[in-house]
Amino acid sequence: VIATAGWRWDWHVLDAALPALGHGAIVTVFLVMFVTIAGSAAGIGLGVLVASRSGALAPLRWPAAALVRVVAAIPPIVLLLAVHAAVPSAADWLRNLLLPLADLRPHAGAAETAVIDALTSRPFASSALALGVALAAHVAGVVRMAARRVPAGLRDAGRAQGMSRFTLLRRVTVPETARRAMPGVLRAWVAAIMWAPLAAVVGTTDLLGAAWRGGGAWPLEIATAVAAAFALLLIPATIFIRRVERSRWLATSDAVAPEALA
Amino acid sequence: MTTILRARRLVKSAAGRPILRDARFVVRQGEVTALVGAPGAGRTTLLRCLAMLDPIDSGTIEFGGHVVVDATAPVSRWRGRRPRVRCNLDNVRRQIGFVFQTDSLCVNRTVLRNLIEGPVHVLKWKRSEAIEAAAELLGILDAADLADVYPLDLPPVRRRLAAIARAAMMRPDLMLVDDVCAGLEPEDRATLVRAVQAIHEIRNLAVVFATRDESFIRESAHRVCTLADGTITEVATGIARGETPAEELPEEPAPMRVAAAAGTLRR
Repeated sequence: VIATAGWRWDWHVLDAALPALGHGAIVTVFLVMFVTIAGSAAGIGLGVLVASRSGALAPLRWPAAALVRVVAAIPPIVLLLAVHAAVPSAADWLRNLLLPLADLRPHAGAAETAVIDALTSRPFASSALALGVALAAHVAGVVRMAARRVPAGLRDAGRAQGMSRFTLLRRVTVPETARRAMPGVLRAWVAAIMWAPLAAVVGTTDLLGAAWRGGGAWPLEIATAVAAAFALLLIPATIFIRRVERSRWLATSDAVAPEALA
Repeated sequence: MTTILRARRLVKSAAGRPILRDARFVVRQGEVTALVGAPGAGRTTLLRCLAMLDPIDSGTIEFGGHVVVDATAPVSRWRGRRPRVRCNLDNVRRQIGFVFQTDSLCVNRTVLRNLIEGPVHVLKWKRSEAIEAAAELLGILDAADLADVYPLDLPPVRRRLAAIARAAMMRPDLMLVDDVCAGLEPEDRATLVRAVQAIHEIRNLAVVFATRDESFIRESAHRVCTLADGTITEVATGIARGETPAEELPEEPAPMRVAAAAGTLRR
């Protein structure tokens, strides 16, 4: 279509935009790292809480299960706009945690300063919080389903051998749940990478945000460069996930995929 | 022969349906008991209760002369449950090997690693010792080729053979074998029966084998118990090997002929 429209590629427009794109790429990497690490940790905790059978945790289980279901059903872009515009105090709370980064500014060069400014901005905090919460809900759903799919026979076999509760948890429940959850969690991580450009919508100067600003009118060359950067990141990630899914360690027919991403 | 396990007046129901009603059962050291009964008679439930994998509604279970489960005491008004017997059930379960009808092996571990899991992490054996013992046991069972194979790569009979070996690895005093022969061809059933016989002969442990395999009942069982309507209705004692009963069992009905027990299998 581009060829027939007579488009003439002019890659020189990238020269001016490259520094900003580089800073944006670093911000995107930080955003994805924060979202995957914090979101996964929170999601695993929530998933364990929802899947647990402990009577002591029962009062927390139902609210947590409801929260997971509701948040997983909200599109990430809606969640992002809601957090940024409707709950600014939540974003400010996270921003206050990141503000110590600003102390590095006197020792930083121009490039680093641009990155630090982006990381300590409210749009970044809103994005990290909203996308982290969205990922946590998906990971929690995966962990809950994975825990439920561990066959009772495996636990019985461990109990029949005289395993204590702790040994059973360590040697059977946790490894078997992890095996079943791993493909779903990896897919959720890929989804988190794909959600990352949404941060530009609220003004984060991530890769997409920087490209949009730097390019002004959003030339096709810059759009192509941004698309290629994400493709370069995601194609190996999806190949890696397929290899992990086929590995002997994950040889199971009942692995869990995130409900919304299946 | 010393009594290793004694269950009295076992009552168990599930989903409002009575499964065990006043079931009584005795297992003696070194004795092989065939537990027969129609499908749904409650054999698996009885074995799971004896292995303390499922709670009982009423009755007592003694193991090694000690009461380990007592569900006869009244429910405490304050605690909402019966007072517990001071007994670590994990320690008791270590002395009872259980072979499930489905193999219940970890599919991402080789058979050898499945076998050493209990000895290493429960009995705290050294890994090298456990591997040596597992290799020896597999050799005895004519299954040395299973060691480095994953369960999913094996046919059902070999997986069940590995499950029998896993239970035997814990060196139990009593082995409860659920109907591992179910759904197998006669030659495969014979393989599993031979494995159980071999383990019994080496360790002289007590075996309770829920089975409908007539050859096992005729050749190996010292006693045959028939479970019907949740109750052990008939017991044949000392028949399979032409032995006389070691002692009379006052709580059980009179002995019966093995042919009668075999007859119940074909119903």
